[in-house]
Amino acid sequence: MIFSGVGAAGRTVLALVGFAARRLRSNPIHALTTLLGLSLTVGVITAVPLYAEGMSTRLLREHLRASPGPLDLGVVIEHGEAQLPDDPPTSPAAYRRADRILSEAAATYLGVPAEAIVRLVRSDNRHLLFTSDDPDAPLREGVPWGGLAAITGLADNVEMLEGRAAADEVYTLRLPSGALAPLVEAVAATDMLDAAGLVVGDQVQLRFGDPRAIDTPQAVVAVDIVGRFAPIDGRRAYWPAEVEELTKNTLFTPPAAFVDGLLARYPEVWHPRLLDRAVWFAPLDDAALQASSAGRTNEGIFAVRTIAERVLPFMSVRTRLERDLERFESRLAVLTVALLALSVPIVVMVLGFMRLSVSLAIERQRQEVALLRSRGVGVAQLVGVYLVEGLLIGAPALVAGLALGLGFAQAIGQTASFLAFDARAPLDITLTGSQVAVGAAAIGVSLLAMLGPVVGAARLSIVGAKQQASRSLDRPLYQRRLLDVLLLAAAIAGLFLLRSVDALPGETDDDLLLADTLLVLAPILFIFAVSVFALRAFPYAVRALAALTSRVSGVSAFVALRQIGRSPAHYTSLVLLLSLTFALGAFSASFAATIDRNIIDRVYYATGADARIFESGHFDPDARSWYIAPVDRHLDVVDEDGRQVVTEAARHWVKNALLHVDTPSVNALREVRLHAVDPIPFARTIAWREDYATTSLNALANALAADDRGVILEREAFHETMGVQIGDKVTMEINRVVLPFVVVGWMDALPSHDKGAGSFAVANLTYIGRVIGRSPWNTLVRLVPDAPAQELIQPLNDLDIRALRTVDARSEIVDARSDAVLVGTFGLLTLAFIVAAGLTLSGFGMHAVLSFRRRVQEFGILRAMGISTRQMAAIVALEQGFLVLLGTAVGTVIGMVTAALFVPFLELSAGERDAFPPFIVDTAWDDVGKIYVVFGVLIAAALPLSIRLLRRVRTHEAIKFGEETG
Amino acid sequence: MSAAAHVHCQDLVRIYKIADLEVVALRGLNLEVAAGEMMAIVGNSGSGKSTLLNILGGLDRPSAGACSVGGLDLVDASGAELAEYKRYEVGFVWQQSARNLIPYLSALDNVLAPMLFAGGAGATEARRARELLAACGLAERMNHRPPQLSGGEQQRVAIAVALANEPELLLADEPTGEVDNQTAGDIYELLRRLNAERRLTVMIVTHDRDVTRHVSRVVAIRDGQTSSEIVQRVGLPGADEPAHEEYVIVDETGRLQIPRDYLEELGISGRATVDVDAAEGRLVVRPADPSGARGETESTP
Repeated sequence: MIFSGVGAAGRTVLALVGFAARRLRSNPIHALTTLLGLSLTVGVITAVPLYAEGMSTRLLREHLRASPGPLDLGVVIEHGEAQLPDDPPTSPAAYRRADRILSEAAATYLGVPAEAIVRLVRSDNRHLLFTSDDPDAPLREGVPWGGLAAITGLADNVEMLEGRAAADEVYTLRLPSGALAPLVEAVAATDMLDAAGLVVGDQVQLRFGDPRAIDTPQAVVAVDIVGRFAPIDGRRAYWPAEVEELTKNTLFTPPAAFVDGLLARYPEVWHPRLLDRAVWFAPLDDAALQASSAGRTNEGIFAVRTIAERVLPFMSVRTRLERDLERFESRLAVLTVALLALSVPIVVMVLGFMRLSVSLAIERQRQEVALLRSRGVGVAQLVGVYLVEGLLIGAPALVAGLALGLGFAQAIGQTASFLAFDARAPLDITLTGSQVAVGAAAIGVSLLAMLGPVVGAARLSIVGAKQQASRSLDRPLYQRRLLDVLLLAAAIAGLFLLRSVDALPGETDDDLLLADTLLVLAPILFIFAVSVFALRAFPYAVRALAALTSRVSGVSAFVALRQIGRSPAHYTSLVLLLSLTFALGAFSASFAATIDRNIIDRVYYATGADARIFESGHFDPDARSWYIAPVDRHLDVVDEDGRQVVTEAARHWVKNALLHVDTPSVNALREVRLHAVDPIPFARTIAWREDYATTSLNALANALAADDRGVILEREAFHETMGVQIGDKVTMEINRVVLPFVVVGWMDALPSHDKGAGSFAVANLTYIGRVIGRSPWNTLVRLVPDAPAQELIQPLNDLDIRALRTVDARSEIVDARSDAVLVGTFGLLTLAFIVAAGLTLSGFGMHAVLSFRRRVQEFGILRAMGISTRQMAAIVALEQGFLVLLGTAVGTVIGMVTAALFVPFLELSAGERDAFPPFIVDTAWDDVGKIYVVFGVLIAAALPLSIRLLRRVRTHEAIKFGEETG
Repeated sequence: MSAAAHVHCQDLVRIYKIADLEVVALRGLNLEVAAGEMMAIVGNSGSGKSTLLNILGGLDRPSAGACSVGGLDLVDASGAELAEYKRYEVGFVWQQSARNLIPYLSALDNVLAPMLFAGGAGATEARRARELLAACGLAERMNHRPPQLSGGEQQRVAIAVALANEPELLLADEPTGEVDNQTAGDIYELLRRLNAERRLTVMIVTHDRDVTRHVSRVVAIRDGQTSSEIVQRVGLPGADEPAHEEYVIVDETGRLQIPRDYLEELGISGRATVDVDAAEGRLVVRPADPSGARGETESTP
């Protein structure tokens, strides 16, 4: 029994929970789909911030490691240096006050406990006279300079090489003059002692104050050098400055001796220069540094800085971390917003799916809901039951969703392109309270979205439900209110807006990043809008098809099409889900293919070939000529297995030249970038694209090879602007030598030529070298797959080729593909497609079974008329098949049209705008084909399962018990 | 409205609009049911009897007229009042078992469900639910789910569910429509027992003319109006079994309905002549055309 228990309100709540649990158990499909939907929603929603944070953290750490320096990870608070002579902040009292305030502030705002703060106090540099020296005597030559310092935690970070650690005590020493001076023990870095010519056992004195000034007493501190050390690891976050800089000229006495001894107990020796500088260094653990906590850390730094500046006059705060964190914080925020915007379509689809699931469940439970309403159960109570159900599912869904989110975030981080993954190091992702809160909020919003159909059904009593069931089917609310038309209008307006601007607004990188993402969002909105709008045509399409096939024999086909034609509204959600999936898939595939192709094209254009090797030669000053190894020797490089690594190699020599056109119509001088090459190897090696010239590359190479003096010019600059023709004679001044050339062809673009460097000309290297002499060139090479160009340098040097450095197109492509935004965008598009495909399949399975159960009485009658179970399964399969075909076709068309309309605009975005070569839109038919195959296989796999489920429905029992219970 | 009337309907009109078509289901129906009375409403399909029951059950609202149950005006009641009314004042039993019961709950949980939504889910409610099921003869079947019960048992569970929150009025729409005669008799017997023991007002809508044997009054509805009444007379001299007398209904404006059988038998249609025999206290209705007349019908005030 479910309603027993103790306590009044508690009993009712428990009973409600029990009731909801019973309902869930009786509707396992609904429970499972809701669990799946909620988990997916949480997974997708949390994956975005998790990925953004993981990626930002990686970028932040990479950045910090790329520019090492002890200040990167610390907050340094330092006295100013210009407060002498009457500078109160350096008094012992001021130091103690500063220490107290900063310790508290660091603990409060940075979470760094007082004992973890590294404190450094230091005098300025003085002559290090021996205590036996007479201070009034003229200075010996080479007396070293140095200061007295104390730093906390020194013993743990240095290795004593000689002597011992300094004692905390302050002793008194009688100087030769008879005066008493405080004496402290100190240790020093071995480098310092060696440079100063001091040894362990020496006793030195530091004198502060101007001996000539009557009112400033001379303060003397004697120091006994008792040990020498070497830092254990200068890169530790412990050191508040470059360790060499810090230990140079410094004698380290314990803080107890300096602060508690000298400063506290010897006011007579205090001098502003004795405590010249105080540093509080709060080391932060870079391994624990997350982009998500950057904001908090930054706020902490800001708070400490504010306190330091307001409360402690003349203090300054220095940290590069603050600036870095600020930058990364804002980048993280933009990345998160941008990717969240991209994840909206997935969330909408998941919510749509859940609504579909709830609608199907409600449709099945309509009778029950009406019964409860007729028994006086209020709408709020019914909604409460569904809410309790939602919460019962929501709790495990939150856990599963967060786990999914972590997985999704890692998967996004591994995305190379659409539906393609790379093996990269996993992101360092930690789940934070705010992400759990985001997940919980996603569940809350999803549950609210699911309540729509519940409220709709709950408003009807049995009489109302019957009336509604008999009423002719209205169009859905969004169609009646023209919401789909409005959505389409917005999407079309977006398209026209994109057409009318030639660049997206944006000043900063962040603006452009956001603009890029919005640019991806625009076509997705378009896909949604067109897909939703296309549903208006669905009933007509079905009716037309039903009319066409009405003459077709076969009960299954007849019943299936009649069923869809009779109540198209039951199927619109499925068709929408399917067309969205395929539209998204087709668009994403084309988008990814285009972006990927253009990344490759642009990197290859810039490099010119698989790799460019910067080389030199041996210059013989006597002969005044270069010895350069023959280029063919590159082909001799082999890998460990003896496999040839370089398959083609071409010389490439680039020089500025002055081109003189002197034809009957034009006489002009033009600076050009001359690319001197060996035509045939060059043609075999370079990364060529068909649109770089109107004639084929081979034809151009042959033309150049056929005539030593041949030159290929840039079409636009010389042919279209100046009217130069093939066969025209031109001259070029190279290294003050004028050479004659004949124009043999045109190119629109030349791989490796920087468009910003002006026009280009391509000529024979042999011809030019013969005339003006040889000088080192670069070599463009074509490599076997997976051969890294960097590894060529050593083997080439072994072959007497002086290779200096390489530019590897393929590794640059890998880098370009690793861009956080690109990876995130492709990751989300892939995720969107996979989720959409999964939801569609689930939707179809669910719909097949529930639709069968809903119509079980109809099937019972058909069965009584002699239709077999197999035929009934065929009816359902035909229905599903028709919907799949329709959804697939509509989706593919929408996706391809969207790609054709929108992908060209992706060039508008940040780095792409001025890039070369021009953007080419690829239609990824092969990828779309793969999607069909994958989907076909999945549906084929799901069909037997559906049929098995159908067979489990006990028709006779269902019919006996009632019309809609199943 | 008589003082003891539990249910009072006057000039009740209900018009449905389906597409562009208006269907008048009730056209000025008048009915009074006394508290604790067990009566039945009979009529052909489409006569309006289920519409009447739906209005009385708070499931539908009349288009015009007056309708009150236990003092609650069902015409002007707010949604909240109606929900309260359905929860506590009225119980409903439908013809189809599937409409009455939640299939995945046991008989006991089905009875407890309305109590839960009325705010009670404790031991008292559980005890009352068991008592109710026992009273309905289901002491042994409490933990069975509806698909495991016979049609008659399902209907008895439905009655227990309808009485879960102790309403004063029980409405039953064709409660025996899907069961055999023996089971139908058992169900009527149960209803009569509950009526007697709990002073429950019971209204049964049925096609079953045999219901006369089980109720004290049968009201026939035709074309959305009450047409005749059969009243049980107990203790008439010389009668072992209760005798029944059939009356036609004369409404407040003086209209009466003559049963169709009489009209057909006497050939009365369209116009008729009425002879008033004040001395005998009789009204004699004759066909307007004497040549076609084969008889007359008579009404005695």
